[in-house]
Order: sequence, then structure tokens, then C-alpha cells
Amino acid sequence: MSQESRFQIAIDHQPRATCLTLADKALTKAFQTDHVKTNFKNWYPLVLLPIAATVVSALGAPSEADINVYPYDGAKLLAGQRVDLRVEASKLEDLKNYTISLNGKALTDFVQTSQGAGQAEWTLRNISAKSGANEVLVKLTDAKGEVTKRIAWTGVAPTRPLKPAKNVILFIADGMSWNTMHGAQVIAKGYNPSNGMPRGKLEMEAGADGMASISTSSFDSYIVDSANSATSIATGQKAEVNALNVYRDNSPDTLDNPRAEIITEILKRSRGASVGIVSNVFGTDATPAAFASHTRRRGDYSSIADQYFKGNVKPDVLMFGGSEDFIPSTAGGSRRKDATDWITESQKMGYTFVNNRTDLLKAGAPDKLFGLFNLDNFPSYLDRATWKRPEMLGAFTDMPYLWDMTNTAISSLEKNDKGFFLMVEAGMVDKYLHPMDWTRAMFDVLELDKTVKLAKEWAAKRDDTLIIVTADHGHSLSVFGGYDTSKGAGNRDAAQVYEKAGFPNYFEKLDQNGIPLPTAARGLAVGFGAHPDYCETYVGREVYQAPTVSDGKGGFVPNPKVCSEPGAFQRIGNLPKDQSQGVHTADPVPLFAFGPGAKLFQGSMDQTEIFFAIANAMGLNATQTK
Amino acid sequence: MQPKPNNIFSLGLIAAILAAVSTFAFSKPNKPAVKLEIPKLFSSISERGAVYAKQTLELRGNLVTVTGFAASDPNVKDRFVLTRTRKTVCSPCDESADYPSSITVIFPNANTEAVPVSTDSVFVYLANGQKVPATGEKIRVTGKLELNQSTDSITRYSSLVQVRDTSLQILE
Repeated sequence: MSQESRFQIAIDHQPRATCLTLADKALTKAFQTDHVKTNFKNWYPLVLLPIAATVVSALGAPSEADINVYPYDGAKLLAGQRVDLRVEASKLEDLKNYTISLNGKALTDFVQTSQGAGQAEWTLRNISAKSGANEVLVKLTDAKGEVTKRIAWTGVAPTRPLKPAKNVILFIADGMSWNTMHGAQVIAKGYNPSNGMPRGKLEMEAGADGMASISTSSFDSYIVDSANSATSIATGQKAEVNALNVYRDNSPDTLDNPRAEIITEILKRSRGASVGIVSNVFGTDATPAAFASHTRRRGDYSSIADQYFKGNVKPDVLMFGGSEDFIPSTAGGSRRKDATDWITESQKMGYTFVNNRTDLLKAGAPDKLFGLFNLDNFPSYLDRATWKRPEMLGAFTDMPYLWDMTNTAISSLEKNDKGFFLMVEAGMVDKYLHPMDWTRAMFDVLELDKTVKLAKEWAAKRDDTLIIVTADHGHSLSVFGGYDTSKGAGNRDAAQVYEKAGFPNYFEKLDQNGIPLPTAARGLAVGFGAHPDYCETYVGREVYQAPTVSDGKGGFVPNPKVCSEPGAFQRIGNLPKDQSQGVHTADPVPLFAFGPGAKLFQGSMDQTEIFFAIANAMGLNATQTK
Repeated sequence: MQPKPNNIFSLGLIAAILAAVSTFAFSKPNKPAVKLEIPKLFSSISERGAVYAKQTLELRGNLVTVTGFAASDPNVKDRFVLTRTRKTVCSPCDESADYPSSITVIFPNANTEAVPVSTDSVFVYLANGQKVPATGEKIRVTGKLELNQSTDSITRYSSLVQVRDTSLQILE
């Protein structure tokens, strides 16, 4: 069965035998009086069959057309949230007529297209569901007969919380599983060696008013990527892998898919709130893009860059790592194919532009702020703060920390008395978990944690801001022991378990930012559940090395440079040999919430529920437009 | 009219002299290849892009040697990427987004056009008969330097620096 057909929802047309069955049931019910029941069995064949035959004749043969409708059957939408309705029919034979209705009212003004013979599509943009049950009814008639399809949506009514959150700060640690977060906590806090008690919690979990375990899945896969997982958070909808805030469609154009309104769009439309997006990865990467753009293909980088400035959101604050999609094609390193220069154009639109930490810290609180601090992703926190190797920093020696960007963003956004929504991504956590560089990844979690601490301190003075810390998906990292670094790198016998693991003591030596140094007498022993063949040393390296290299035959082998390091040993992989890196997992991820509405996050939640909980916490009424 | 034999000889002599002069006058002198280092290809790299270094610009069109590590696709026979450090080549990735910037991502059969432009690599087009090295091999290439911001039609790899008609020497 093809992937396409697997996800088609069953069509409502009934073959003849089923029509008979239906007619039979209807007649049985009609004749269920005491008198008729008594003698029914005797004259059943004489009466029923001719009547049933008449009914079938009147209905005619059913059409064999397949119908798909988006938003999909079972979608849960915020009442008033705008979505594009798309109906796609295939296997049509000479379409005669159609009606598409929502909640009993026929819809008009569809744009009708056809992707090929026997196909027809109808698109109607910017409709919305009402509170409660909604039904889309599609009826088509072609040369073979009629076919109907019913789709149910649930409209979630807006709430009026006693103390709504005026502002939301959403922190996303890309790829941070529970295990990765806890490993970072062990590095940051450690344990009291006299009694084994933890010395503290990360700021992202300490004193949380709400917490949940978030399960992730998507429309076409139960393993998510960063695009469709961010879509779940931003719109409450399940989307395909690589899709940003759109539903599936059958056209090749990746920018015309039916859209779901993003929470930032709703906030702008319904109450004029400000929006900020901050990330340390390239600016058009999936997670930041999910809060201001729509596309079936996360690789539509130039379009995503354009949508930041031309779309519905037009964020007031944008601060990123990579600039390559914001500079003209003539600039070395640009990915654009045109002359668009968003650094220049944004300033004409009133944005203050900054490109280094020194200027960012002097920027104050401009109404609109655009920051690009690298040509591509930031190097990791350890590269910027501790190791400072030129091989890793290149020409970029004055990059801000995540907390610098977040503080300035808040200063700008808080001026809007209608509130704000700020998304802050620690994107490099994922970028380094893919190649199993857990040291870099965990210290990037600690950079995020310090950022959360400062945000909590700011919010504590106001009591009107909901802070959420979560991840979009996990990786298969696990901490299983302690590593005695006095025995050198890669010494398998130095990776001890249970009572011989000792208590990691990174916390004893802190850097200039109060974050532990990566060297400790007693470190972590870490492994991954899903990985290719690669070499491990248990200790970080100051110059990044890829875990694998191509074998020249379509597969991958351990990077010989890593394997030649003192003490390196090979871990036999369990992924297919064409996989060069670690992969996302289906494991649940953490969520911690602070402030008004935080208690809405509890227990086990599907990732799409984050969207609705934020809307409820804010008392967001998507049915209104300011 | 048939040309006389001595006239034929004269014409042939003149043609030969012209050809020799032409060869001498219009072909480049056989300059030795100049060593070019990948980290020095650009004078500045900022959020506004990368700017070619003066030496890089001066060597455009000339023979250069560059040392680095091969990142090659086994399905592509005559071209590969030469990188400053050893890279993983991620052939099955359909997006670059999930990988660190220091990893070169190549899409051998990709439909995508959004390949990141690397500033620490050069794209190598081999001379006829040369064999593509395996990924990870340390090599020295010698060829003609070109400076274009271009995307290779087969690998979809975007580069700022290319070396054409290249011969190579495997170092390790």
C-alpha cells in the first residue's frame, strides 16, 4: 500500500450490498410495531426485497471517487482559529456537481483546481470552526453516481481565566529529552557526596507551578522532526514531516498548502500583542520558522525569511544565528537566489539592526529589533565561553549568549500593554545530539537554564507572564555511570557504574558565567540508544569531529580521526548503515511551566495540547479581531 | 591555377611560424602552482557574507594547490568537495537543518536547492581520468582556480571557490 493511500480516510460511499443492509435496517425499524413484529418473518421477503430494490434504483450506483479533506477528520481547532479548507477528489469520472458545507451551511467562493485527469480540488482560505462539534459534508456527483464524505472537527471554546497570562515566554530546547535535561542537571548541581542528595535542580524545573510529560507524533510519522513538532505547539495541529503550519495537499507547490493559523498570528490579529523570536541557529530553521511562516517544506529558506517580514506575524523582535537567507545572492555564503537584502530592508521598516554582542548590550529597548550574529548556526556554548578555539569560532568572536538576546527581547516586547509572545530556542542542543557530541549539547542546555533563570526573575516582579520550558522531541541519550578522568580519555575501565560511579563534580569549577567548566575529576559516562558505528572517548574535544565518514559505498564508518585519539574505542551501531548520525526518538519530553496558567500543564499530554493550554492560559479569543 | 611547389613550401613555413608565435604569445607561461590555504580563502566572513581575500582574487584563473580532506559521493565520478577538516557526508539527509554548520551536507540525488554554502571548503572538478578519492582521505589537489558562487548541477553542493581540471595526490 502506498504511503498516500494509507492515510486516506475511508470514503462514505456505499456499495450495493451495504445499501441493502441500510434499507433493511430502516425497514426493520419502521415495521417494529407489536402487530407487524408478530408476522414480519412470514412476509419479509415478499415486501422488503421489492422496496429495497426500489431504493437502490433511486440512489443509483455510487461514485468511486476518493475524497480527502483538510483540516483532517478529528482535528481539534481553537474556535475562531483560521484554517484553510481543502477538499481533494480523485478517481472522478466526469464531475457533475458538488456541494461542500460546514455545519449545514453550504460554502461558496472555493478556488477550484485540478492536478490531473480525474482529479479536482477546492480550496477556501480563512474559515474557522465554532465551539463544540463541527461537521464538513462533501457531496460529489460524477458519471458513476454520488459520493459523500463527512469530516468532524472539534472547536475549543475560549476561556476566561480569573488571572489570564498577558505574556508568554516559550523556551524550546531542541532535542532535549528528559535524560538530556537530567544529565545537564547532574553537571550543574551534582550531589552531596556525604548523603547522596541532589544539590539542587535546574532553574527550568525548580519551583514549577505545572509540569507534564509530552508525547510527540505527527500526521505521517510517529517520529517527529523539528518542523512538524513545532507545528503541533504553534497551531495545535498534526502535520507531515518537514511541514510548517500547513496540512497535506496534492499539489507540488510547497507554499500553497492549506494553512493553520499560528498562535502568534492569532495574538497579533485578535489583540495586537507583540511577538519575538530568538534562536541560536540559522534564522530560517524549523523551530523559529514555525512561529511566523507556513510551508510544506522547511527547506524553503528564502521564503521563510521573506515571510518574517511580509507575513501575518511580522515579529517585532527577531534574533538569530545564521544570516545566509537574509542577505543577497551576491554576498558570499548567501543561499538566496535574488537580490533581497533583509538587513537593509528591515532597517527601512523601522528595525534596529545589531550584529554582535557589544552592540546588542547597548541596544536598549528598540520597538523593533533584528539581530544576526553569525553567517550560520552559533557554535556551542562551550566553544563561545570556554574553549574559544578559532577552528570553531571562525570570524565570529563577539556573539551574544542566549540570555543576552532574551533579555533584550523582553525589554523591547514588554513595552506593549497588550502583551507579548516570545519564543526562545536553544537550537544547538539538537545539532550536537545528532552527532552524539553530548558534552556540547548538555552545556547548551545549561546556557538555556541560565536564560530561564533570568526570565523567571523578570516575571516574578509582575505575575502576568506564563513561562514554559519544553523540548520538541528527544534523542536517545542515557547517562549510565561516572567517568574517572584521572585515568585518561577513552578508558573503558574508567567508566564505572553503581557505587563505583562516584558523584560527578563539575560544579566545583565554574566559568565566568557561573556555569560549570567541562572538565571534572569525576565526569559522566553517557551512551546513546540509537547510533551508527562510531568511536567514543567519554571526554569532550575542543575541536568538533564528525562521528562518522562515508565508506564510499553509501554507508558510514567511524571517523578514523576520532578513533585514533588516545583510548578511543568503537561502539557498534544499531542503526542502518546508511545513517551517519543519531536520530530523533519517540520518547516523551519534559515540560515545566511557571506563572498564571501553568497548572494547565499536568500529567501526560500530547504535544498539540500545549497550543490549547497556552490559549486557555491567556484567555485567547480567536473569534475576535482587534 | 595550381600552386607551385615552392609556393606551397613557403605557405607551410609561414603557417608553422605563425602557429609557433601564436602558441608562445597567447598561451600562459607554465607558472608553478601557488599554494592556497582554505582558512585564508576569505578576508572577512560576517553576517553580511564572505569576502574573498586579496590573494584569492589575484590567483583567479591560475594554477593552485589546495590541501584538505575529501568529502565525496560514491555515485558522482568526476567531482567532490575538499574541506578544511574531515567531514561527515550526509547523503540521506533531505534537509540540512538538523546538522551542525561544521558538517558539510551533500545531497547527491536531492531535489532541494537549499544547500548551505560552506566557507571552509572548495569544490573540485577532476581532470579526465582522475579518480574521485574516498571521503576522509587527506589529499592535495592542483588545478585552475575559479571564484563563483554557484551550485553544482549534479551534487547540488553550493560553493564559493572551485578548482577545475584537477589532478590529485593522496597524502594519507
